[in-house]
Amino acid sequence: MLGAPLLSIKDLSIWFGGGGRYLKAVNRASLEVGRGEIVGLIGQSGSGKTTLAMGLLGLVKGYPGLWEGQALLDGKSLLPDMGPLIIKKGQDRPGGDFQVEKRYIPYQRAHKRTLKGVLGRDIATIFQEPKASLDPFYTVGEHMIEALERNLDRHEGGAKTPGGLKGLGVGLLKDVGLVDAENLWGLHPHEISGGMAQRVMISMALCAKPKLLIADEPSTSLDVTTQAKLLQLFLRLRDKHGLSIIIISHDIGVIQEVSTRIYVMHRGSVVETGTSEHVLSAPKHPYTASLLDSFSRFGEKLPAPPTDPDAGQGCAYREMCAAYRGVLNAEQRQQCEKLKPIGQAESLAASGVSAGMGDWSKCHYRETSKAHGPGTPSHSHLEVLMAKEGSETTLVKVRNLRKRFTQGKRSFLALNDISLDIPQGSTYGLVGESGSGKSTLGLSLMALQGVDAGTIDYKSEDILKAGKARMLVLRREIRMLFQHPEGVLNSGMTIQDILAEGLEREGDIAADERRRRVSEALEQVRLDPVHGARYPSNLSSGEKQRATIARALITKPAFLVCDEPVASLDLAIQSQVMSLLKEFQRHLGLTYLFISHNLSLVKILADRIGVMYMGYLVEEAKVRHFTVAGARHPYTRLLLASTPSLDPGIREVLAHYPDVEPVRLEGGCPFRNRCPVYLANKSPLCETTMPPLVDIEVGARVACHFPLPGG
Amino acid sequence: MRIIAKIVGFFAGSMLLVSLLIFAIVHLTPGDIAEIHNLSPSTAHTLHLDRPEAVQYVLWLRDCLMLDFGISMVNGTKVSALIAEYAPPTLLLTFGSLFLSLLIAIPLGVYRGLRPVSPLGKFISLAVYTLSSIPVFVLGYIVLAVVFGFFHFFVTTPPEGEFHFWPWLSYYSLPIGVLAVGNGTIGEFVRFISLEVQNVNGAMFIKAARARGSRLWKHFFRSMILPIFNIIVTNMAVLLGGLVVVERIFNFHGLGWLSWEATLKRDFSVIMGITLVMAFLIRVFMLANDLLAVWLDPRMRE
Amino acid sequence: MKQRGPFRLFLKQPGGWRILAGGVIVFLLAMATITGSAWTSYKSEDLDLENLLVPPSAGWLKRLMTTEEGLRVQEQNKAGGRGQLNHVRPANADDEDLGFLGNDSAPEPAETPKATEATGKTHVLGTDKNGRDMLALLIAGARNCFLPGLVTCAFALGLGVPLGLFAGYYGGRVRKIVGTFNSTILSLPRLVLILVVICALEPNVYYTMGVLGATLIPRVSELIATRVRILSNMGFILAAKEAALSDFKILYRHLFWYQNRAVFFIQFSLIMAESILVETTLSYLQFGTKPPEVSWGNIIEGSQMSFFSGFYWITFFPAVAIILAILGFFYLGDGLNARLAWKEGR
Repeated sequence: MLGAPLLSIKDLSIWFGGGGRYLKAVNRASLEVGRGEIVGLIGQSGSGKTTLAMGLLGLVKGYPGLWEGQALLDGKSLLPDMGPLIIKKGQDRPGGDFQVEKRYIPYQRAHKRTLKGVLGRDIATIFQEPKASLDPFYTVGEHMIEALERNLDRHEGGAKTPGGLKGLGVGLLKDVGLVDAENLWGLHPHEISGGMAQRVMISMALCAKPKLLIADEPSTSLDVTTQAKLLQLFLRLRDKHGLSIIIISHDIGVIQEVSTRIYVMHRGSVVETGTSEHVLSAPKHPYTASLLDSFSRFGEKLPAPPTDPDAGQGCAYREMCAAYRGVLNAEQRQQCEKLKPIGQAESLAASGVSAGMGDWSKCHYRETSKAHGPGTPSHSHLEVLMAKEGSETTLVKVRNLRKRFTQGKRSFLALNDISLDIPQGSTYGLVGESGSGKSTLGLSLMALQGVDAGTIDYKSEDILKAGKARMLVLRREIRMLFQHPEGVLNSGMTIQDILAEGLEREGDIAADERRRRVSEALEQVRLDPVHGARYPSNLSSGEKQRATIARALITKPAFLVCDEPVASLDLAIQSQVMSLLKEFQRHLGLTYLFISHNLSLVKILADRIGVMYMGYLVEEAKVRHFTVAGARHPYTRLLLASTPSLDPGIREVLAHYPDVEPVRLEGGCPFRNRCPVYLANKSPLCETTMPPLVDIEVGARVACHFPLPGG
Repeated sequence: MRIIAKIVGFFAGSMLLVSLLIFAIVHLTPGDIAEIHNLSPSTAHTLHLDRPEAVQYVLWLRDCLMLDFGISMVNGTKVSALIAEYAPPTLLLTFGSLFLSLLIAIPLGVYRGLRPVSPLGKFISLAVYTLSSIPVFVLGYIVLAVVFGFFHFFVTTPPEGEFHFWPWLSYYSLPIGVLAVGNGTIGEFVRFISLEVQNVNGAMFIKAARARGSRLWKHFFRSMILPIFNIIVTNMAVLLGGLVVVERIFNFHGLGWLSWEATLKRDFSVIMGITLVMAFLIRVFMLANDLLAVWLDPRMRE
Repeated sequence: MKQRGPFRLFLKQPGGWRILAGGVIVFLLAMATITGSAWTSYKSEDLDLENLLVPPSAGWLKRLMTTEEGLRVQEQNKAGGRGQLNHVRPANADDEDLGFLGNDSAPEPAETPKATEATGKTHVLGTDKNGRDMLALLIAGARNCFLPGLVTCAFALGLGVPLGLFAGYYGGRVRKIVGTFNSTILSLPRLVLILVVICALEPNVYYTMGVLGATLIPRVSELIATRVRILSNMGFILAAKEAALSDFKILYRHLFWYQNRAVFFIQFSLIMAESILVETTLSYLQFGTKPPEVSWGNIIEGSQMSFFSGFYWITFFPAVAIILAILGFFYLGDGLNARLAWKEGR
C-alpha cells in the first residue's frame, strides 16, 4: 500500500436507539482501505457489516444514535467526536423507537453537514436491489443527467448543454459495459434487467469520479453469470480509474473473487483481517474457518438432536425407516424398538475430523441400510433392494412437457418439450437462471400449474389425468419444499397445527397418535418437539425451513420437489438443511427433484443434473460431468465458470464469453447470442434450428449443434 | 392509446351501471310512484311512468344524456333547471373545502410522515383522529355556537345583488370551514399522506438518491402527485355526502339542501337527477385520476 | 430495571392506551344498551310535565354553564336558597323553532319544582322541553345507535369479507366482478345513496343501516383482497394447495381465521364508529330514528337552537355522547390496528 490509507476507521462503535435505550450494532471495529484497493467485508446477516458502512454514511433507517471512535477519509474526519460515551449496562438494549435525545442532535447535525460534501462526491454507494434503487418515474437518462449536473465540476469541458450531458452520460454508460447506451437512455427502470440497473447505478456513481465506492451486496439479487461479469467490472474499474472499493457480502465466493484484503465481521466486531490469500488459506479465527468450511464443503456438523437422546425408547426413525419396514427380521426390529442407536458423529467430531456426511449415521444396522461405498453415498436401502431385482426403476417420467405463458401481447414458452426421468431414490438436480422455467417445471410436477401438453408419470400413472380423489392420495406422496418458509408457515398457526394439517387427509386419527406423529416429524428435522407449540415468528429462519421439511415429511412422502429450499438461508444454515435432506434420502429412500440456481449447491446432493435455459433443457448428465472442463454445452460451462469458487483458474474461461444480457431469441438456438462457439463460426444452423436434446454418450444428453469436447 | 380507450370505456360502462343502480332502487321497490304523489296522467306521461319499467329506464337514460332529468313531482319545475340553479354554490363549497382541507392536511401529513414518532407527530395524529370523529352536524353546532355566542355575527341568507366581499365571505366561510375540517376527510388525508410519505421515505430509490447526495424533493414530489390525487378522488364521495348535512345546518341553498328537501317530500325525479349528477362528477374525477396515472407512471402504460 | 406488570406492559405496547380508552367506552355503551334505563330514576318515556327544561342538578355540571342565561339561572338559584333547583321556562318553549336565531327573549324563572321535592328524585342531567329526563334519554339513545350499528356490521362484514376472500383467492374474473361492484358503489356519495333509498322506501333506520353496510362492502372487501393477494404472493396459497387442503379450508381457516380474524374485529369497531356517525346524522336530518323513539341525533334535531337560548344541556350532552361513542369505537379499532401492524411487522 502506498502512502496513507484512503479510508481509515479506528475503534469505531455505533449504537442505535433513543430514549436512553441503545443497541450496540458495531463494536470497536477498525478498518483500512488503501488507494486503488478492493476490500471485502464479510459476515452473516446481522453481523454489523452493512451497519458499519451505512452508519458511517448516515444512510440507515433510524439514524445512528451514538458513536465513538474515529473515521478518516483522506485525512478528513467523517464523524464529529462525541467524546467518551458512558452507556450503562441496562441501557445496552434496543430502544422502542428512534427518538434521539436532544443532547446528541448537534453531533448528528454536524455529521450530516460533513456528509453533504462527501456523499455522492468522494464516496459513492450502490445497493443490493438495483432496480428498486432507481426512481421508477425517471428514465435512465434523467438519472444520469441528475448525477452529472451535481458533479459537472469534475468533468473537464463538460458543457452544461443537454447534448453535452447526454454525450458524457452515454460515454459513462458504455464505460461500464452497457454497449447499447443510446437506447437505454430513454428507458424506465422497470424496462431494464437487474444487471443493467446495477451497471447504471455504477455509472451514476462514476459521474462524481469518487475516491471510494461502497458496494453493499451488489450482486446478491443477480444471476450467477451476471454476477461474474459484474465482479470483473469492479476489477476493471479499479485498474482503470484507481477506484477503491469496499464490497460487503455474505458470500465468501464473491469476496475472494475480487478483493485483495478481507475483513471478517461477527456480531458487530471485526474478528479477522488479512490479505485474501492469508485469510482464505490459513484462517486464524474459528469463525472464519467455519465460514470457509461451510462454503467449500458443506461439511458442517449437524446440530445435535435437541432432545435428550435417552428419552423414549428405541430408534426415532423406525416408523419411517425403509429398512425397518422392509428387510429387517422380527428380532432386529425389536432392537430398533428398544435401544437408541449410537452415532459416530460425536466421536468423529471429538477427534477433530469434520464428520463427512457419509459417516453420519445413527443406526443399528448401518451396514444394511448404508450405501455400498463412499462413491455413491446417496443410494438408499430401497434402491439397494431395487438394484437386487436387477433394474433401476423410474419413479417420475416426464415426456414432452410444454407450457406457454401469455402476458398481453407477448407470449413465451416457459417449458419447451421437456422430457426427463427421475430414478427412484435418486436426486435430480435442476439448474438454471431466473426465467429459465425451472420453477415452472417443479410446479407442473406438483400439478399446481397446468401444462399445455405432455405427460407426467408418477409410478407409471399420469398425474395430470388423475381424478380429484386420487390426487389427494398422490399429494401425500409427492410433497414440495418452497424457497420462503415464511410463505408456507401460516404466521397465525402454531407449528404443530401446521404439521397436523398434513394428516387431515388420512382420515380420522386419534389425538395422541396425531401428537406422536407431529413430534416424531419434528425430531426428524432436529427440532425440539417443544417448538411445536410455538408460532413461526418465534423460530429462526433455519428452524422455519426445517419446520417446512417436517411439514412435508409428516405424510411419509416418496418424492420431494425442492424449489430453492435453501436460497433464502445463511450459508451455515444452508449446509445444515442440505445435510438433513441428504440424510433423509439415505434413511427414508426419498427421491428428490432439487431445483436451484446454484450449481455448486446442486452438485452436493444430485446424482444427475439437468440444465435449463429459457425453457429448454440444454444439458443433462451425471453429476461428475459438471466441471468446467467436463461440460458439453457452452451455457453449462458458463454457469460453472461463473459460480463463485475458491479455484481462481476457472475464471479465465469467462473471458471467452461476451458481456451481453440474456434475451429470449425466437427460432434457432436460444443461447446463440451469448455463445462463444456461435460467435466464432456464425453457423447458420444455430440461427435456424433449435438443436435437439440427443444422447452424446451413455447417460449424457446435450442440446447443441457443436458440443464442447468434454473432459 | 389502447389503454386510454380502455379507461374511457370503463368510465362509460360504470356510469351505465350507476344509472341502472339508481333506477333500480327507485323503481323496483314496492310502492307506486304515481300514487304516492297523486300525479296527473299528463305528468305521469312526461315522466314515462305509464310505460313498462325497462322502457322507462331506457327513456330516462336517453333524457338524462340530453341533460333532461324530468320534472319535479311536487311542483313540476324542470329538474335540470333546479340543478343548474343550485349547483354553482355547491361546487364552490365543495372545491373550496377540498382546497382548504388539502392546505391543512398536506403539511401535517408530510410532517407526520417524516417524523412519525416525534411528540408533535403523535399529537397531530391524535388531534386529527379526534377531529375527524366528530360528526359534521355536531361540529357545525359548535362552530355556530362559538361564532354566534362570541361574535354575534352570522349570515345565513345568500348575498344577493352586487358582489360585496365581506358578506360573501361570511356566507361561504363557515360551511366551507366546517366541511373541510369535519366530515372525516381531513383525517383521511393526513393519515394517507403520512403513510405515503413514510413509504416513499423508506423506499430504496430515496436511499440511493440520498447516497448520491442529490436533491430529494424532486423524487418525493414526483412520487407523491399520484397518491395525493388518488386520495382526493376517493374522498370526493365523502365530501359530496357531507354537503347534505352542512347545507342543512347552515341553511345553505345548494344541491345537498335540495336533495334533503327532495327526500323529505319524496320527490323522486329530483333526487335521481342529483344523484346522477354527483355520480358523474365523481366518475369524472376517477377518470382523470386514471388518465393522470397513465400519463405520469411509465409502468401503467403497458 | 423496574418490574412491569402485564397491564403496564399492555399499555406500553403500540395502541395500548387507545385500546384501553376505546374499550372502556365501548363497554359502557354495551352496558347501557343491555340494561336500558332500568337503574335511572326516570324512564325515557316519562314526561315530567312539571319540570320542563330543568338544568342539570349535579353541582359540577353547573359550573359548566357559561352562557349569560346560564349565569342568570345560577344567580336565581342562589337567591332561591341552597340546594334549591330552579328552572327556566321560556315563553315560547313549546314553539317548534324554539330560540332559533336572535330569539333571545329572556326566559322567565319558574316556581320551585314540587315533584322533585316530594319524590326526592333529581334530574341529574336536567330535562328537555317535554320534561323527559336527559340521562334516561341518553341511555335509551345508546341502544338506538348500538343495535343499528350491528346491522351495518352484519351487512358490511358478512358480505365484504367473503367477497374479499374470493376476489383475492380466485383472482381473475372473480376479482373483476367484485371490483366492478365496488367501483359502482364507490362512485355514489354514501349519504346521498342512503337518501335515495329512504326516498324509495319508507324511512326505517334498519333499512338505512343495511344500505350503509352495503356501501361499506367495498372498503372491507378491498382490504381483505389486498391482504390475501400479499399472502398468495408469499407462496401461501400454493403451499396450502400443496398440502391437499380443500378450497373451503384454505379460505376459511388459513386466509380468514388465522390471517384476517384481527382485521375482522378491527373493521367491526371502525364500522360501528361509522354507523353511529351516520345514524345520528340521519336522525338529525329526520330520516333516522323517529320520535318518540330516542336517538342522540334526533334529540339534537328536536332541540335545534336551544343551545343559544341557554338550555345548553339538551344539545350538549347528546353531542358529547355522540363524540365519545364514535371516538371510543374509533380508538378501539385504531389501537387494535396499530397492535396488529406491530405484531405483523415484528
